[in-house]
Amino acid sequence: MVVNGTGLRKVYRMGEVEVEALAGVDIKIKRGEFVTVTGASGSGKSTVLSIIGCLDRVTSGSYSLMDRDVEIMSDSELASVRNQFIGFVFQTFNLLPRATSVQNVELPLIYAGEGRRERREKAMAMLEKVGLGSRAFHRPSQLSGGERQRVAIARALVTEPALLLADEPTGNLDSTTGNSIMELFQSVHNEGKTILLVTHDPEVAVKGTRTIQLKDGLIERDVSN
Amino acid sequence: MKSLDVLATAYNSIRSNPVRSFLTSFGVTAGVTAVVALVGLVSGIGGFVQNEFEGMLNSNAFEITRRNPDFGDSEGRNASRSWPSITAENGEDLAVYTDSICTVAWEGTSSGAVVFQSSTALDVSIQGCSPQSEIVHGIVVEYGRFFTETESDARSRVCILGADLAETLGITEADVGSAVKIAGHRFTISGIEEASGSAFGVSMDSNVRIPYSTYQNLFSRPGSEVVITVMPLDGVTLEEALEECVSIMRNLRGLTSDDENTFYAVTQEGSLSSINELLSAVGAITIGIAAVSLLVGGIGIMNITLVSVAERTREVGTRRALGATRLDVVRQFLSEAVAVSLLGGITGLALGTGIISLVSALTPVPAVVSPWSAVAALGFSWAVGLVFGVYPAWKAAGLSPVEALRYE
Ligand SMILES: Nc1ncnc2c1ncn2[C@@H]1O[C@H](COP(=O)(O)OP(=O)(O)O)[C@@H](O)[C@H]1O
Ligand SMILES: [Mg+2]
Repeated sequence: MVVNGTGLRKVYRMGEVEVEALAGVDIKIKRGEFVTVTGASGSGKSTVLSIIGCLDRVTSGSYSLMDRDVEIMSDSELASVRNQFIGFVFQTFNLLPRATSVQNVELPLIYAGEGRRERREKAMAMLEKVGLGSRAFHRPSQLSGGERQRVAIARALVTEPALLLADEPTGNLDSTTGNSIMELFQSVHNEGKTILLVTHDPEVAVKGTRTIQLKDGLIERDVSN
Repeated sequence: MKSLDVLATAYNSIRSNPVRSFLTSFGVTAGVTAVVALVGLVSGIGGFVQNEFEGMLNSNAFEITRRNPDFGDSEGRNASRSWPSITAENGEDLAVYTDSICTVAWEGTSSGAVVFQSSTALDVSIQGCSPQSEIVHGIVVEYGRFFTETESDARSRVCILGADLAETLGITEADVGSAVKIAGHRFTISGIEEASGSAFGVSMDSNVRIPYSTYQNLFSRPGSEVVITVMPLDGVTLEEALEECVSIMRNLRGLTSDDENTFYAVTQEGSLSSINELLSAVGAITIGIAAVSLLVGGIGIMNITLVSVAERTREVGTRRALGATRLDVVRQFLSEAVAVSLLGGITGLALGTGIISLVSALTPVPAVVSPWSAVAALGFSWAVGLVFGVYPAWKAAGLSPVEALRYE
């Protein structure tokens, strides 16, 4: 089991007001699944992704990733879990603006403690794989939106993580570019990668093998496509 | 994360954001340059002034004068205007009554042209000197001799020329015994002084000295102002002599025990300490100016940093998502900030040192970079880097990754 969460609750406290972003979610993801999470804005999609990605901790419930109990881990252990097991793709790409494509892709390998040459080799290979070998020494500002997202995907995959997490990866792209990015996700999935992808777009959601629909912090529907 | 990669990451970050790095280090450079240069200048000027004063004054002597030694005391200065003049008679009386413990000299000053053959020196300071002036002021006559007491008593028209004045007029050893005209009166050259240098760029060797009696006869009226200088004899301390002279002066002036002195008795140490007071006031102003320039530099840095906080916070979030620990983030930002601000600090130290070297090369002020200002400057750069560069990163590292990623 890649992801195993039961009774996940997340409450945000803003002064006096409490917002229950997740109200008790059970979610299990097996190796090789391509799960899409949809729902209206504010339904808790990003929250679920950040819990699964160990970017944040649950208020209550139990969660294990790759059969490791992450609740009891320290912050630095979580950092190493993220580095080893998870690749993140964001809506806004989150590339370092002044680093080249290959430097951006190398970033997670630096935190993994890999040597320079291996880093460069792996990053170049991954850029080739997403079709951006020729843009390795361009900066994000010299790339189109679709190209930026490809760099981000290469960065997410370069550590060969067990789970690829993406939050609205097509949200800032036009539909043609979005489709080609979704094709990239599908081909990554076809190679056996486990993926969880958040989107508010039903047309994107159906590209997964399974779709979870959230409403007000609860699972409304969980169907195979 | 490997240490080498921490440094490489910091270096990449500095290099990849040259504007931010430059502006940050420039703020530090400006502040540090100001501190190093100002502190160096002020302590240089302080040393210079003190040195010049030490050259002018006799450390084992004090003056009886109406001049207020305290630069800051304008009230005292006004009060002293109503006091009776310090006169040659006061000097004579003091000399008589303190004969056994000190030597008393006095001088009056006027000015006029000195003419030798076809050469003229205008506006020369004419000093009427008491017989003991030679001893008390340590006047050294290189050629010829100082005037005698007999010459003094006889109001003889003899004079001693300062070394520079003699040179200006083309007077040499061979001319001792020749005649000069001082303010139209014919004098015989009795001697030429040894050069004693200058103070504050003004030569101390351009006076002409004549006996006080002659001076009074030709250039002054009885009861005109003089400065009395008193030097204790061997075996008598300055304090004893001072106490005695003050009490005699009080008696001469008929002051009762309730009255304040109507004169000042000023030791060199006294005037030095009031100079030092003045200098430390200037120093305090300097430190104020330096603090303001540091503050301005700091505000500039803060501005730049605040602009980049949002960007940097999201960078921290991204790095954390990719596997950076809090420690990785803090180490990276620490080395980055310290590198940038130390670079600025070292540049500032170099610029400040350059300014100081320029000043000491082009002016007589022996300005130096004081070690503590260099240490303070580098310490300041380090602190600035820490506060303005690392603090936002430290805060960002304290956030959970998801909070850092959401930061607007
Ligand atoms: N850091 C936070 N502080 C306070 N409220 C938050 C925070 N993050 C999310 N929320 C709230 O939790 C709910 C779910 O948010 P999110 O998971 O981002 O929704 P979605 O991604 O589906 O649009 C929303 O009501 C949102 O306002
Ligand atoms: Mg969202």
